[in-house]
Amino acid sequence: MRVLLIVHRFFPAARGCSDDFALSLAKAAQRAGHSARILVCSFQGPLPGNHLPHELPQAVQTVSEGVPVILMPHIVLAADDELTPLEDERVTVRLSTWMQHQEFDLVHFLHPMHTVFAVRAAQRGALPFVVSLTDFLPLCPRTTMLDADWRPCPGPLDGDRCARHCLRPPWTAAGLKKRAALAQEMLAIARIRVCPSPYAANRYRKTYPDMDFTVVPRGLDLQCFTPPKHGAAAAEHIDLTLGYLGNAMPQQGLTTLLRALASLPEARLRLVVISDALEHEHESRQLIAADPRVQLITDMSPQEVARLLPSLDLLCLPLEGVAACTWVLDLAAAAGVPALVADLGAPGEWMAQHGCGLLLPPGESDAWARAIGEIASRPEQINAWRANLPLPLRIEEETFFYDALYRCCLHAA
Amino acid sequence: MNTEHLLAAASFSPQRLTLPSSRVGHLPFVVWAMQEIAPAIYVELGAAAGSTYFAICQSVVEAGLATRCYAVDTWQGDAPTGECDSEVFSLVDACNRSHFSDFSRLLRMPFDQALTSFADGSIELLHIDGLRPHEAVRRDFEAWLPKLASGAVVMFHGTNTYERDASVWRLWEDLCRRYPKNLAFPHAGGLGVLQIGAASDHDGLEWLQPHFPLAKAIAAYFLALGMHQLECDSLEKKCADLNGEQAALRIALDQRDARIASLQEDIAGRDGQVAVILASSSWRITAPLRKARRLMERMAARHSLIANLCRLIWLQIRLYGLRGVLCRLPHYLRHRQRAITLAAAYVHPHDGGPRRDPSLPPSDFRLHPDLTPGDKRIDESVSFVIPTLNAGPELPLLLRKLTTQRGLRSIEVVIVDSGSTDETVRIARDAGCTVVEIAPADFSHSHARNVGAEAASGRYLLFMVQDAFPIGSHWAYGMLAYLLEHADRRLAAVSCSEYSRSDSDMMYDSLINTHYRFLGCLDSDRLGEFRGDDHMALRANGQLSDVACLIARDLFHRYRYQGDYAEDLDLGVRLIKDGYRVAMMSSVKVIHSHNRSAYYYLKRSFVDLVFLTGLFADYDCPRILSPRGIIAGIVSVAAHLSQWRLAFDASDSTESLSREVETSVARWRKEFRKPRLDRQSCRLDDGRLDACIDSLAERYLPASCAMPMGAFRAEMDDFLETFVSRLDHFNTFAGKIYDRQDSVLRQQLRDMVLKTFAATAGTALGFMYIGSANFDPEDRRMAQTLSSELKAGI
Repeated sequence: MRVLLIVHRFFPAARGCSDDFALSLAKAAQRAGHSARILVCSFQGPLPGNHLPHELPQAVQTVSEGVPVILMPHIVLAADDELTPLEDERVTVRLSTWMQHQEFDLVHFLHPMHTVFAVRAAQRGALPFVVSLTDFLPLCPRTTMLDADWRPCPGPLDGDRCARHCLRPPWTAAGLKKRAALAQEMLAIARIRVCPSPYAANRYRKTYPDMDFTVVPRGLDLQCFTPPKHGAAAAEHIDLTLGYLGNAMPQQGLTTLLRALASLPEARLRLVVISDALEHEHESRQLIAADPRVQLITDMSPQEVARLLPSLDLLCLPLEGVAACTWVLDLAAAAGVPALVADLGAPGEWMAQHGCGLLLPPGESDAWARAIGEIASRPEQINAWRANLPLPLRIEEETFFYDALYRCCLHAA
Repeated sequence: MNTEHLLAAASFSPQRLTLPSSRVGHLPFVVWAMQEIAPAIYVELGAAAGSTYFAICQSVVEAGLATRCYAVDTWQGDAPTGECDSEVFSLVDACNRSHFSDFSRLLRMPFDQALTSFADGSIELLHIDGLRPHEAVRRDFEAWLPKLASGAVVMFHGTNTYERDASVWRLWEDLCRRYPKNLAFPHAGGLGVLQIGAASDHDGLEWLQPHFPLAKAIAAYFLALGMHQLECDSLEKKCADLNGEQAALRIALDQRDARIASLQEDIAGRDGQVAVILASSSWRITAPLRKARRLMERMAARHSLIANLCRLIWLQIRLYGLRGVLCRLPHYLRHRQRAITLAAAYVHPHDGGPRRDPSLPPSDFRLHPDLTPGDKRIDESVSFVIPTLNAGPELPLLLRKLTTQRGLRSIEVVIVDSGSTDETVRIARDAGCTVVEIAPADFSHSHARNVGAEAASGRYLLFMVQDAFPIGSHWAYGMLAYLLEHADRRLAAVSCSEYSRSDSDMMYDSLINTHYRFLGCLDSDRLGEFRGDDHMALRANGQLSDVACLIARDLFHRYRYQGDYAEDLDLGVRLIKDGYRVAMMSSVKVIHSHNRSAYYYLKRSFVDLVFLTGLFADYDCPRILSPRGIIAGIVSVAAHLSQWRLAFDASDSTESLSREVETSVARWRKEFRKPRLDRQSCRLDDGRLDACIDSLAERYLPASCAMPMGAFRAEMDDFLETFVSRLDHFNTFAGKIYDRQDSVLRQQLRDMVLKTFAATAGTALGFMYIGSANFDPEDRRMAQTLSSELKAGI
């Protein structure tokens, strides 16, 4: 089998879920005897050292851990929207020609962002494709499934609801409707659609009731995790060590958590924030600087995160946007750490199912403060939550399921 | 002790066997004992099909004894052996009425109810069926003890049977301490005989006395007679089966004859029609056209051999390229006869694996159950059986994965630990597993699994290994569902293939790919069945895998694992030879792989080959012309590779991996022919491998072989060719996968080359060992020494 994996970003320019995911899938495909290539269709930043020119326009090729990678530069789009096709069709045609010469059997879009032109290219060559929907980008231009007033949104309704409740420059009403149509078209022609959680699959099914969505949760390298035998080591003068893992965008809710901590000035707590540099988040930076109990750690590798997580008593996920994925909670579960979770999206559903922590209202710092205060005074309940932690999927399980779906895709073809 | 009775026992032939039974192995002894003891009353608890009981009755008649015989049983089908049900009683009753009713009674009631039928101290010979839990047998023995006369003899059947529901061996051990006058036979499930009373009592049964000088001789005598009896019984059964088959074949033949007659009538009718056509004028007119067609067909047939040869050559060109084929010309010329035979037989090229039986459905595509919608539930219990030894930090994850498997009624995990010194046993117990501990010295892969099976309570057994990890939460469900769906096709056991860990190396990946391609389960689930006794067919179709093997418990107990090596293959082969099918699944898998050192591959290849040739008599082994030539070939290639490794490690080429292998192989076919037989020149970056090769050179290379010639040289060249051919084969796998190299890929490639060399060396030494019977004494000793060294630790 010859597989082309398409992502919108890759190392070394950025490090995130999609690129790790792409590399894991590609290497697993190679181990299984398939040929795998990664195409990065919107690469930004410095090029890797070992690159060579590639036949695609302005593209370079390199090898990452034995996997051939082609980097296509980020092309400025007509509108500030990640789901708009390129104006220049020649790129699409060249890409389609290249795909056919390479005799790929199928394409896997690991994220729909910036990939419309590549979808068109696959379509031109009648290549079946699989699409992973790790967030709600096809349904929501804000990806949060919350409208501009931060109210939950039931779905795009062909773009009409987006035009009514989320019309902000540079979007136009016609553009939002066109976007919704494009997303539906892209998903309709996909052979297999994969969501990372049952919650996400159900949301997509509600919007597209005629389409099937398969659930494959994200997998982890469980060998990286060594849960502590009896919970986090107690630190002197600290009753509770909390953790936060995520970026600082508003929908992640870091500010809510920091405000909650600020309203408990006497509590003997510690908060470890593993995030980016918070350059654009003024309030979060101020709150962290003002509270000596909060430690900000940036630029941690996945292995370092795995080593640090077991030292936490609780992980906090104060999301204020609807997430499709429970990856952070899976990391915490692998490390033996229960969680406090905003009752929203896939993480909320996950917590309700497993009961290994608390569900809290999103955006309400008072409620978070009350909960944290109670747990700090009765930390023994953490042990009961710890016993309920589920075993996450291993990375090999995830890649095996995708391998099976690839075969299913070709079998159906 | 009456020697006439002893001799008469040899000629005893049971006349009244109603049904086959394992007890027949003890009939000669039991009958002799009966004559020695000559009891007034004989009671048998658990007479079942009457094989022992009626033999006793027969001996009463033949010896003219005045014994009264009583058989006690409910005949309700509760015996663990499964011999008994209510229909058996009809047979037993009929036999008793016809032949022994003068002195024999059947008491159809529970044992304790029959107690009231006998006075205390009245029974002189008691036979107890021991194929039940030992607690039950103990209760019966204690209850009937008062009914036994002083000096009475008690026999227990099943004293050498170790099953969950048949554990009288435990009671027997206790009783031997209480009653020193005892004797036991190990065969046919075991028979224990003891005499109530003090050791000092003498009553003519001296053969039960402790330290009786002829005890061993008597035991051996009756063991031999018993085995003979079993064999006779088995042969009679086979005769009966064959007679049955013969009768069925006769019927089939008669039917076929009738069909032939009918067809012949049709043919006669058609012949008449053909005659009319041949006599017609249109037939005469078209005669020249038919002549031309016949001429063309004859030409085509003559060229089929040439066509097949061309086909084979084209296959080789596709595999190795034109240049590669030209370089392999000497190899082809050496094996030209085989090529011609192949071409003449027209071997249809296929990529390995069992051929498809047209009666089987095409391999259907199947998704893992976790990816399919709908509720999944099978109302069955499964016991996972896992041998462990220092399972390490992955064990808790595995146990959590197993205990959270879904879709089954119940799950049990049985751990058989052979002396772990880490936390394995504690972790298993804390997780609620059934833990059986065996001594390290008792461990073998077969024994550990058999012990685990005995301790298991599930209706199905799923054997695993401690470092495998199931994929998905419906993994076991998926295997069981497949087993049950194909039960009507006599599917007996299911294994699933392995999915490499994320850190697996290229060598393992390519081996696994080749292996599953051969088994036909690379891309789909496949059923294997008996297709012939040749080793390829047996291996391709009978392979099961201990990494994950599911089988019904009852069936497993009839077969059990055997041997010290490849016990999974052995089990699968025995099953298919008995008409069952076994499956290898691809739609469900376990995560499992090992990155081994080159030294390991040297030893493992040797052991695998020696085992396979021992298991399969038709395994084709080349004739070894010069064992020292093989050693020289290994040493020489190792020296060349050592030099290559240094250069390779120092370079950072980004050429495509396939091209790198191709050019290297082409170069090595020429350059590595130059002998390099200097000692201490092996530097393959594996200390143990280097030491091994250097030791081979030191011990076994001739003092002077600067110009190797003849058979010595031929073996060196053959070894080189085998090694590079393996790399060619690897390149057909890798060439489709990998592109340009980076540092990660180069490291993998380098290790791959060295491991392939080690595996080739192991195989070559294996062939050398197998052919060593024809060597001179010194070479034979060399082969034996190497065998001991290479087998150690595997």
